[in-house]
Amino acid sequence: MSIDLSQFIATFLEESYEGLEVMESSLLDMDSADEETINTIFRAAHSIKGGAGTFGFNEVADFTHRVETLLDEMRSGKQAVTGPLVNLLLESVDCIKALLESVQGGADADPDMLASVQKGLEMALGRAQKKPRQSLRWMSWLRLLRWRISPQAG
Amino acid sequence: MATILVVDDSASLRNMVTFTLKQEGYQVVEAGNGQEALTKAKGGRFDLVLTDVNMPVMDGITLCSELRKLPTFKFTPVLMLTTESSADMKQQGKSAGATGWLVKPLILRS
Repeated sequence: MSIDLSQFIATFLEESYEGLEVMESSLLDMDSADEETINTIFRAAHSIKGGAGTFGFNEVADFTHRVETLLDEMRSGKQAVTGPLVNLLLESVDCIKALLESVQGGADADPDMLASVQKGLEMALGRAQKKPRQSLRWMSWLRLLRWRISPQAG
Repeated sequence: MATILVVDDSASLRNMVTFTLKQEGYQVVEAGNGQEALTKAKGGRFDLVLTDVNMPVMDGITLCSELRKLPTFKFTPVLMLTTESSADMKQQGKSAGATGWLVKPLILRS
């Protein structure tokens, strides 16, 4: 059985652009956001990631996966909903749009924009899991102290 | 011929799953969310339900537990088709009465 994926890809792109519009307008209206708004944004990102993975658009899938993870942390309360994070998500929407356009045969997405937003996402995601790192820093301080003490003791 | 209820809010994925199943000779009924699926389930007979988890209006887990309340769906296989692979989600699906768990992305092979 051979399947012509192009008919499904057209639908996928169409609903992805719709999803991005939903994300954008909900993010712009975030001041009055309730749980359901964040859920709606999450679902849109989730669908784009799922479809992109299925149709082999790995760059779109990987990028959107980070966005989805951040949104998941926001809806579960692991991340506070802050202005900078909402801005980061709005920039992410632009990135996903650019990635989809390049999939469609348009110009390549601006690599600088992608890299900077991706870095922002990584940092935001890292922040939520910072606690173990904090304790590591503590440990290295302790080690440093011990090192300072021991030569004198010896 | 077996009839399958396919539930996904994403039209492209739903179309693709439907297309594939039809090629294999199954009859397919589509629904865009859990609520729509439940309505269609009450109005027909199905041999299998394939459903997404994350959907607006009614999610797949709720759909599954609602289906299990219907006498005609007590023993119908319900497969969750999702990108969620966390143990917690799977456990929720199991408690809701899901038969199995398929993780997306689906790769279609000839």
